[in-house]
Amino acid sequence: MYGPKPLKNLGGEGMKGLKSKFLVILISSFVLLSLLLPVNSTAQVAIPRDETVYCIGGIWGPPTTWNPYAANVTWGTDPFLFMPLFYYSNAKDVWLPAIGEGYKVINKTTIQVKIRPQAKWSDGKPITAHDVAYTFELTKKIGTGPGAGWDAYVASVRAVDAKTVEFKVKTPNPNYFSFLGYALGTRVVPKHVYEELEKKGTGAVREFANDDPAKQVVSGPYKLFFADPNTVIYGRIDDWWGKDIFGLPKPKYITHIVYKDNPSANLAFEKGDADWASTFIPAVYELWEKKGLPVRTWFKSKPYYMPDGVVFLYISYFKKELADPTLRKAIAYAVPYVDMLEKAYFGYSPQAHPSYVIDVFEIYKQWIDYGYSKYLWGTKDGKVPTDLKKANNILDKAGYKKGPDGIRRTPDGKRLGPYTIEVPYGWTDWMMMCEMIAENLRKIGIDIKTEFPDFTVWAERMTTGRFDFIISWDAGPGYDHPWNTYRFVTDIRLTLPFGQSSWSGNWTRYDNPEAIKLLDEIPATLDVARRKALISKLQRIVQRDLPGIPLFYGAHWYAYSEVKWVGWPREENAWWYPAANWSANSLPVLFGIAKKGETPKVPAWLTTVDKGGVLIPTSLIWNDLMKATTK
Amino acid sequence: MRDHTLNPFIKYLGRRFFFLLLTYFIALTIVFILPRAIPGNPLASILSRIFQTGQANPELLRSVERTLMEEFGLGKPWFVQYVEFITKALRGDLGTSISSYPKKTLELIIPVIPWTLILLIPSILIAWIIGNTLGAFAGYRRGSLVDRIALNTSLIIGQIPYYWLGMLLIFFLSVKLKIFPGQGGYTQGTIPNLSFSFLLDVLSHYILPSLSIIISALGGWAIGTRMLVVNELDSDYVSFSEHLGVKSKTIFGYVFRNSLLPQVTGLALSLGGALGGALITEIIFNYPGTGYLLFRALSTLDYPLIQGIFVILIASIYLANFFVDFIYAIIDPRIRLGQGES
Repeated sequence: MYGPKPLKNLGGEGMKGLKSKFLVILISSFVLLSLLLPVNSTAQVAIPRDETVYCIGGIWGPPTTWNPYAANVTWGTDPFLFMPLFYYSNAKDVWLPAIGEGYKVINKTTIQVKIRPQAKWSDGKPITAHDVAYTFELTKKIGTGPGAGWDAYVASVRAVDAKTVEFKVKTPNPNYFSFLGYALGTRVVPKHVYEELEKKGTGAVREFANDDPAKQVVSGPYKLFFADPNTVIYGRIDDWWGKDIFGLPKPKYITHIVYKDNPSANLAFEKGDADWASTFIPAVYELWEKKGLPVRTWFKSKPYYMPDGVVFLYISYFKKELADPTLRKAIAYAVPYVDMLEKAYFGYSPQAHPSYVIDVFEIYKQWIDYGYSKYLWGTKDGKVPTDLKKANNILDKAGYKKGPDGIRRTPDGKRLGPYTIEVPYGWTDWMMMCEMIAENLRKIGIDIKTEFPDFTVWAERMTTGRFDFIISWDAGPGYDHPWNTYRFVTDIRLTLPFGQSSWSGNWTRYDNPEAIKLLDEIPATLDVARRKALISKLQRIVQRDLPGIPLFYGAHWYAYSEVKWVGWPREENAWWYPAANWSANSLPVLFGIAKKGETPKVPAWLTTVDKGGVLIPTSLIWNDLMKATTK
Repeated sequence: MRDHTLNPFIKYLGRRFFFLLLTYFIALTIVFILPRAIPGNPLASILSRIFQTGQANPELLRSVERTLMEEFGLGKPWFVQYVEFITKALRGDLGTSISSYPKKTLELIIPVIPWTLILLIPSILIAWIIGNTLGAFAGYRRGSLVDRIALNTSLIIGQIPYYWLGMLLIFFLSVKLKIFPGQGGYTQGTIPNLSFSFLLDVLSHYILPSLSIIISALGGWAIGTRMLVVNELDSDYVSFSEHLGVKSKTIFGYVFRNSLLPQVTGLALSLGGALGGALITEIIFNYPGTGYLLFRALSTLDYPLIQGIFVILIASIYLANFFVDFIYAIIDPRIRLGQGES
């Protein structure tokens, strides 16, 4: 009779009671928690696949805000929600009047833009010159937003009447490039919405999420339809103000799913679940050549993609011995351009032209001083050949003697290295290029190894100038190319002393008053012939000093799938460019595509003014400014 | 009589609470320092995106950079930033995220917490229950074939790095056999809703990450319980019962229950840490929990978000600790009475 009983009382019962209580609490809290799952109770029905263009490559994290004054605006806001006065196409060098109807040059310092009488905000209020003027003023006050930094080039923005806005260029030394870019290309926000926010302070303007589809006031043909941390959907506004002028864009919805990484996004594209791809796709040609998919990029053959700016090998002036132009020239000869683009970049770009001018766009070729480049580099197209022997010869001649370790010394005895060449970890194509460049530089007696830090670390070194060699970008092609590229690489005023972070350009801290003089003169010159001469001079300087060695053109990631949508712009039918879904000027693409099974029709307005369309060539604006009086 | 027992108890809890606050303050300081000790530019993620849209011009970049520096107080001396952080954190304001500017860090953290808790709490519980049962059984039959098999498997499983296990699971069950999806909390592109099909979808995405946690945690629990049971078997009451001829099943029951006390503590602690998510597991499975959010915050050097996650995480671990202390004091009179004596 005695035995188990007292033992059981020792701890068993109490323990059991406690344990089960504990479990009950845990299980019930779990049930409670599962009710907390971020579920949208008013979730919409699934959107129809054949009315929707699915995008990849535009957004990689949860969407944040649809407010142009927040520095971190969600993908889609610029291209689909808010329109500028004019869109710019850099393939055709034309301006497409959007909210603006046309421009009028008043005199050499003043330009007026007429706003379309039909232009309305999505809440029905007319879009006026006061909205335009207000947008600029608010940007100046906030520091971020549409046209940030405009006041360096635009003297004033004034509403002449409700539908006419006047821009004055800042003088003396007018910069017509930046002036026109700001005046014509800046997005406009609704004054009546932002005025209310401004009353609560500038913080309220910046932190405005603008994420309520019912309350969004936009000028474009789309507005937010749905967003959660993994999805953004824009829905078409069927009674959009521009439908009688432009028609309606074809897709009813534009959807972007937030994928974890490139491979998973590309997989969706390959499966036909995404239509409009702006991602890096390794060996993209295999999709149609080997797998037979209805997929294409801009070009059917090499380089497959259009260029989106020049990618440079930047060598910092932080270490004194690396400043020598002769050493830099030898390095330029040692870079394995063709080999590296073939192996690491799938041939997505030709070798960049040493003049810094993107020679894939026909319109930019006029700026290249071919004669000089051919003479300097000794090649037919004026591009730098890969020639290790020549590189070694140059260094031998200049007195860079090899030490016992096989590493060269500068004429005054400084060892060349150890140096690093760095790009962010995970940028596999660039990482491979670094390896290949480093290998060749070692062959000419430079002690260099690769380093692949985290992106934020790399960016910190780049923007403070404290690096040896990096591969990095320039400002991208605008209608002011190549001037903007020269400026980005050579203008010391854009940057800060070594050690202080500056994102505006000139990572290497190249400092040359001669270049600055030309940089100021070029955009003030309306005469094309004279501008050409000035650009040619600048070309000689950058090819002599080599503040950056142009490697290749960064690709404009644009690929499309014709599983659900057809008629996309491409090389053979280049009706609009830029075409990447993250480009701020890509909206017209959506007007010319068609559902699979329907016949796509390029909108008639997408032709130049002389052919009955609305597109205005940049040269026309320059001519008008040339002819204008000074007063 | 009652006063005598209550007083030391309150004293004990008060003392625990004071230390809790003190260490929490120290933890906040560390949380402030650590992300800033990582070299890198926290504005890189925002500013580099401007280049991508093709709208980069030097004036715009400069203006945006300057505004953001002011907005996040990055240009200010570190002690000013520190005081701001602490005073704001005490008021419950964890600041604005940099990479997801202008979203508040809390807005980003709160929606991912349920995902993490739903992943971890059941997984930890299942691992705990299976592991303990297995360990107790092996311990009770120590030396037998069952014990040897259980012990060795547990040892091996317990030593497998859980991220590797996760990758193996993805490779075999998701990529090769295509039984379960290997990525995300639900199918990408579906809008979360309360339908049956969505819940089923969530469940199918749930299994692999959960399995990787259960398998890797199980071994540890089993080994621990086996040890405890083996120790317990040496107790007087066991030999006493054995001499009395009590059924071995009954003895097993006693031993099991008595060995559980430390394991309950362990369970409470790992549940307390659950809020931090299984960092690597969430990264491998792309699971939308706090661990994945922390990973994103770290890789973009989003100081306020890193701080925010840790502030909440540390608080939850401390609360769990406090809870354990509290339970201990209730279970074990020696603790509360001992406090009174010292």
